[in-house]
Amino acid sequence: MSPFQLKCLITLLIIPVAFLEEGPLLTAPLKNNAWLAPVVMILLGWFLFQMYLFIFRQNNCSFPEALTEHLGNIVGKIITVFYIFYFLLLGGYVLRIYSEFMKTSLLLTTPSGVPLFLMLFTGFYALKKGINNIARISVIILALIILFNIFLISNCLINGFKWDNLQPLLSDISVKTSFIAFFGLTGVLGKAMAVFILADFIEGDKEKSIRASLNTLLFIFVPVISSTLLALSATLHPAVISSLSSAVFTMARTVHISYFIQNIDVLFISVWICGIYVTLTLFWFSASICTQKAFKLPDNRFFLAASGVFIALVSVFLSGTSLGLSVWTTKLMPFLNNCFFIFIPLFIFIKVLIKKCLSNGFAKRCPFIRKRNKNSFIAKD
Amino acid sequence: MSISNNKSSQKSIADNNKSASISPELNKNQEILAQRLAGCSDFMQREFFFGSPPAKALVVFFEGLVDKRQIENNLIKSIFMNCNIFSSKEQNSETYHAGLLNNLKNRVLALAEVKNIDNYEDIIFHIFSGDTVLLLDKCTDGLVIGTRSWAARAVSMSENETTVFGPKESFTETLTFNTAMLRRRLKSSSFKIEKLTIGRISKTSTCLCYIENIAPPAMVSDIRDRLSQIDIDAILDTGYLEELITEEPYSIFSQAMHTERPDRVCGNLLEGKACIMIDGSPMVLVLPVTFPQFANAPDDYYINYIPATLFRFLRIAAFGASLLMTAVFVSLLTYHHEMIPTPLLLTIISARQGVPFPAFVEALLLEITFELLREAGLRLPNAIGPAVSIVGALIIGDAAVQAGLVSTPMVVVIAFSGITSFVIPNYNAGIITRVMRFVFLIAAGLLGLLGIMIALILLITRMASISFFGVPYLSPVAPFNRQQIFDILTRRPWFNNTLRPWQEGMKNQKRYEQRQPPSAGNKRGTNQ
Repeated sequence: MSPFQLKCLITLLIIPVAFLEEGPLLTAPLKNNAWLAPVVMILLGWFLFQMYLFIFRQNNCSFPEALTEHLGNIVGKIITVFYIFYFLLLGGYVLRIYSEFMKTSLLLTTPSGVPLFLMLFTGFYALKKGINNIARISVIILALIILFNIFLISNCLINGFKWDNLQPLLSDISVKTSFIAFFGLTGVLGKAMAVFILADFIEGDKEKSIRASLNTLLFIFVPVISSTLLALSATLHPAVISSLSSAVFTMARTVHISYFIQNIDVLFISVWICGIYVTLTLFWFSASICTQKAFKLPDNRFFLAASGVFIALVSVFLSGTSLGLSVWTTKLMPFLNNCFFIFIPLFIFIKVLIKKCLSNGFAKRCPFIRKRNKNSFIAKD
Repeated sequence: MSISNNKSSQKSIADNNKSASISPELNKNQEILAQRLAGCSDFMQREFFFGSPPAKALVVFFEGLVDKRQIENNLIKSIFMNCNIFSSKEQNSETYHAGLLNNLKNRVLALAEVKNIDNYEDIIFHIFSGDTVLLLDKCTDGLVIGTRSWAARAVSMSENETTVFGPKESFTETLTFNTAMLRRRLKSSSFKIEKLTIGRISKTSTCLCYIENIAPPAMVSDIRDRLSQIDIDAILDTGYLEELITEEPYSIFSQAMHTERPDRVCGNLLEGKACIMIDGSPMVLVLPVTFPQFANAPDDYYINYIPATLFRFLRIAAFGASLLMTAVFVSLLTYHHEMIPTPLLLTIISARQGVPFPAFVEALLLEITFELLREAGLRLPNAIGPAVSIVGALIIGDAAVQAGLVSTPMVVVIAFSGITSFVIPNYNAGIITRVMRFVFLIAAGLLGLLGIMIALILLITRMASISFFGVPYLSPVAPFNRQQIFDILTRRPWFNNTLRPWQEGMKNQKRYEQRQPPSAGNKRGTNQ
């Protein structure tokens, strides 16, 4: 896998789902100012990625091994198992979002099990062929998604732009609403931590490739999500967005070319299916690789079929209704994302930082630590 | 009983003599050859004596594979005319007989190809190949004389890859003509033609061609190894070889390009590829090729680069239309009719009134009919083929519309998608498109656009997983290569085409040292 393919993969891991879930996630707390949140996120995202890179730099080992390295063998293994289940849950969640917009926009009368099975089969086939194939395809899919996104946003901004929907600017922003919005955004961006799993398959300098991938992600994520939210707020009213299950596709329905070609939301959905396919496949792959590494298995392919069934079950039982899915999107997923992709890495980061400071002799200069550890292990060191 | 014993003893003699050396007794040689070639009525022997003391000689060849005039004039006649050279006072001297063969080779035979052989296997191989073998009594060597000549098709215009500009000639079934056509275009010692024989029964002469300082050596040696490992009874066309050396034999996607144009082969050789040609087939196998390369037509390189680039875009669009147009139309009519603009939808609905089939069945029936007509047009003699196509297209199509079995918009869509498939310049790519079109049609009939997208994802995943001699099948699209993607989408002007497409292990990527802008001095008026 080349560094360029890694950039595409990591972007596709985040963007297609973020494109769908950011609408309700950010417009609920920030209303018409939701589009500003991703802009501010540049700084927060950069800090987050620096934290990831710092952890990676300490031992240069890939994701599940880093957990056992920093948290010990037993705790590390337990946390790894949690991560495996969480990646599968994310796969199920992605599949649930996909079946939701299938049911509401594309195949209204077809049982949702059919597209669900097809997507799982496609993902399974891709994983059987290997991650390198997915990496190769990701370039085409990302180009397609970006092109369609530009077309969608520009068309909406030109044809359906209502300045009133964005007024009053910077109003109703409190600390609480900002916290909720950024909490959601960091959770979404935190999924980029999967780059450490994919890092094993990169040719050449891993750290350089990871840094470049994360920077590219930030570079694409901010304009894409910000412009999408801007177009959403300007086209549909912010109050409407949070109540829609697929707000972006509702916006896509307003796209027209000279009022002759209309109702082309189906076209955007078709393209987004490709993005969802890559996202699902990557989460599935992450779970498989973590399992293989955690339990030192010779191969991960046997795990695919069983985990596929698990993902399907998760997507079916996640929520039966659109409202239930909305609760998962706006409440539960941000919390879980932050737990797994922010808090645990933050804990490791602090642990590593302290360890590093102590080994650098910082403890001897710091009066608080010197006093506290007079007779402790530091003195022995 | 005695007969069977005789037969078995004959068989054992024949087995023992398979690669045995030539006997000094000419009668024994004659007997062994007669045994080995029993039942071959076209096997000819001519026995004669020459010199003083008379030496017994035998000429063997296969009728129809040799030029008899050469044997008569340049072989037998030359020997008889130069009898005075062969005389010795010592009648049974060993030196006399040993010297005969060398004298014949160096002083008598007025033929270009003459070489010594010493075993039966070589004799048989060479006479099957159209050479003549001369054997002498009391000599353990023979002479192979190149007298090949058989009825061969003359070099003619390419029928399957026609172009407006550029060379017109195409390969023939004769290997030597084909190698000569390449050699005439690539006058370099680095252009190598390696010869090998494949096929237990057919013993087909096969040539592996490449340019030594351009083609990756690992790739060439890999192809050579794979060719030498082939164990098959006969090779009758290069299509056999493609299946035997490919890395993905259970795949519809052709990983080599079949062409009958020498200029196209040379162009590919100059890009670091190798080609395989066999005796008896006018089709040459160029490998490895990638799928996007199938969009390149031979005359892209002979016309101005701007229209050539536009034609290339047109071809890519035609490929997409050929693959997806019918499927998308069926999915729009069946599942997503809200996407069709209202006036157009009303026209389609009014045209489809009375059609008893759903859109999917209608499209499937028309596609099958179209394929039947195309196949019939190909198989029928040239005089009838076009007539059948016209009857099928005009009369049956019109009658079907009049009878209300199919609608006119569907006929238009199927015809358009059929025409676009003819724009694809490579026949193999055309076959892939034709087959995949049915897959997409079924997917669209079952699940609309979702079905098409799933089929597309599976198709691309499958194609991306293929690689041939280390070259990914979808490159330079997937994996993406910024430099080469331009070479696929556009036709670079020759003065700016400094680099060959990159291949792993390629030694010399530069076509020429630096960009050559059109000389300002040559512009009109500046010389004066």
